[in-house]
Amino acid sequence: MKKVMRRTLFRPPLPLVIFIILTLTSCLAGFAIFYNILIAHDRGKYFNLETSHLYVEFPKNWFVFRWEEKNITGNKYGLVIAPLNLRVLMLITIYDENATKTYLTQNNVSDAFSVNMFEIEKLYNLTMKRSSNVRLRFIENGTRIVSGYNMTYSTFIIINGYVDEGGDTHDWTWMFMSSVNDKIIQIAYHGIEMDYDLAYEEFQYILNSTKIKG
Amino acid sequence: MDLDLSGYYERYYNLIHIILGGVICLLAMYTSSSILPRLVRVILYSLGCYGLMSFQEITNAMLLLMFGAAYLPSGFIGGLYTGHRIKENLRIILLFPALIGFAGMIALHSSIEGVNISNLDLQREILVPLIGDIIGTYLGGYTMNWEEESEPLEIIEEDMYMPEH
Repeated sequence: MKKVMRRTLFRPPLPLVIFIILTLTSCLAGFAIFYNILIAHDRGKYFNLETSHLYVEFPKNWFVFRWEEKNITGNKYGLVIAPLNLRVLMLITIYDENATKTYLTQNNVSDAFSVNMFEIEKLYNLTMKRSSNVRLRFIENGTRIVSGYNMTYSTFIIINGYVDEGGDTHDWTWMFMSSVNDKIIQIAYHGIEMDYDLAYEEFQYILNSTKIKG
Repeated sequence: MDLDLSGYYERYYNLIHIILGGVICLLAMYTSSSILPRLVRVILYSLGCYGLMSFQEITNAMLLLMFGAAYLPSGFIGGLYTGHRIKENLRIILLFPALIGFAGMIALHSSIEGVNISNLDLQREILVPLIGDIIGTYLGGYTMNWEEESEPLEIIEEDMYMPEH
């Protein structure tokens, strides 16, 4: 017979063990979902995003906000795409058939050019309320194809049109394009002063990658 | 006339510690649930993939992270304090710090950030925080009162084969 002395190691209480396991498991599962999304949507420098109405690719450090507006008079779907470090924003809006009819009737417009003029006038009137000494200068009008749709676009600057938080005014550059068929598609890209040019290439990439469904 | 006030004081003492446990739980929950989402955004931005926040699936990932890194630990801390101070009726008592912490967090969010209580998301803003908080509190409380006989040193007698010389 031999006497053996065995030291019992520190045994953590069971609830503490359960707590650690639960915490680690849920955090790891969260990170796994992050990683899975990253892998699934990775397109090199860009992420791809697919909704029921649109497919777009956007720069990885930009954010996208999707929205829907449902009414008896029709539905509108859209995306807002913007970077965090520049004062620019891109907006894509798609009207369904009912919303298109309502929009055309209510605003007394019939084609893409008149839709552009209507929206530009509305925007100009809105900026006049916020800032004095506002002027509108058209730069370019034209057409281009986006996702198979013939879009009519207008590029313009609203001089002194943007008032920042400090009360300073800036020139506000816009590109507004629209297409009117069985549905209205509107794409707007705007930015403050130099920021517009800085993000212009990315805007063109997003525009070229955009696929409008249906 | 002799008055036995020990029962009264004990109940008062317990109540104070339940409330303190709830306050600890509330502070931890409010701080972590405010900081963690911002921290995730900062990390994603610095990694150059802030766009991940645009995907709907991210809601589930954030929910799991919040459960594991905010709600569960907050409840656990509150439970540790309550369990350290109170040793009896834990099964019932531990529920209260969790409920105080959760209700306080909802009240703080609605008063400070102007969140409308009727618009709260049932799963994301009510069920998951509440469940995380309750589980954490119970785990914390029982961690402090885990009754397992553990002897630091034990002597075992064993039959051993002794070779003959």
